Amino acid sequence: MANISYKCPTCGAEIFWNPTEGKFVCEYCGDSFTMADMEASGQAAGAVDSSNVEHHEELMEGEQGQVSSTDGTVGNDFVRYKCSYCGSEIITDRATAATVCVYCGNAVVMGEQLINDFAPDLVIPFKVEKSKVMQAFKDFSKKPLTPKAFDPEQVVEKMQGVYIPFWLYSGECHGVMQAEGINKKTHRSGDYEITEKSYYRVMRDGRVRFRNVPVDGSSKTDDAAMDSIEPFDYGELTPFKPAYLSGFLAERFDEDSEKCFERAEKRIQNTTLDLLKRSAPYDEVDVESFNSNIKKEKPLYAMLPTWLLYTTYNGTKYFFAMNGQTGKFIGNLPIDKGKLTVFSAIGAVIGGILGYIIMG
Amino acid sequence: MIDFLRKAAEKIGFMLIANSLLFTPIVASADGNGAVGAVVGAGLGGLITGGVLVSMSKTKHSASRAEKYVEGNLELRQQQDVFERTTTDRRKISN
Repeated sequence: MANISYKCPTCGAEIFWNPTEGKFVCEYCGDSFTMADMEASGQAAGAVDSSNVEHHEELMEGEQGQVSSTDGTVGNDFVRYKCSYCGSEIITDRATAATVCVYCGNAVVMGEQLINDFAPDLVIPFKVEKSKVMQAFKDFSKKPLTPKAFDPEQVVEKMQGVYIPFWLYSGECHGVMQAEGINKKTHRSGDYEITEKSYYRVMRDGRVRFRNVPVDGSSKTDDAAMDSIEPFDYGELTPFKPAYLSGFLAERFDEDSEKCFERAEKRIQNTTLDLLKRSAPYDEVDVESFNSNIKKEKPLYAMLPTWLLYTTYNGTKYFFAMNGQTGKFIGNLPIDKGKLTVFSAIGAVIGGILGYIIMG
Repeated sequence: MIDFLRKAAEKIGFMLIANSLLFTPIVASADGNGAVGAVVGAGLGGLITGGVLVSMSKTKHSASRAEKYVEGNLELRQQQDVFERTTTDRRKISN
């Protein structure tokens, strides 16, 4: 079997997942099909047949580092596939699980990246389509310090819909906190301000349950960016079917669940400590020790939708991301230092006038 | 994170030094609270304006908490609160 692609049951043309309609839509005849329709037509079956997938070809010696991907994927470890529709060569990152052939526009899902240990449990299908992403990026770019020369129109076309592999961790955190609790009372007596502080020895032992704490399992994706586009609405998690990847890029994980758990663990521990501190009714709680133990369940492997943009401005690389389900946009925009100086100077003048009025 | 904090501390440090170098002579020669207020207000106004505008352009942050993923409430198994001591501070209020 070649790499997986999907055809319109009516006219046989290439067919893609349409985020707005939540269906497959044929761009040629206009018919649309639900996932159930596609399954009824003998396509989009639940799992990839692991005994019948096309495997990648390794690049020739010396090619690695000399070639760039044909599909815009970033990385430095490329492999070669063949487009099942036009036969063209697709050079892509080793962890790519789905892409689009740059020559014929055919959606190509790499079955070998979605079988055995790499078979995702769940997926949230894309809900935000590219035209809305483009408008959202233009709006997002309109910040007071954005340089005039930074033109979102020029870069937004490079925005790609990418399913990012995420590990979802659930479990229970048991934490024990030892702390000093301080209550403070202040009153006035004649010309004196009297402050009384009462000190308490505090101990809290408690448990907190966590459900689906997400951590991206891709080494190439910016971790902070993936944290920043949270949260996803897990109510729309659905059992994984490769057909959802049709028309988008997708990566499989290249960092396993044990490695990624460190990031989830820190977040879970911090939140458990926060909750234990909040349960102590003092003005200040100074933590002296905190011990925790997390019992985690088997993590789930999910493909979550994102729109990603890598671009360069004045020699500096910038990365922007949008949650492909909720539309939340994040990224660090370039800053015009001249504008920053002018606005800060205006702030300083206003601050100076206010300071003079208040203190004068 | 440590890198980010170090860079932020450096930038704030430079800004404060620059502010002090520029305005300390004015404060020193000021003969009233109004001038001191103006100098302090100018420094704070510049820093706050710059800080707010920069934060509007930078929306990427690492997550350090998981409160959105807490299921139910904290279940306390044991708790202790033992009173230790009280201290009293008296501070003369300047007129």
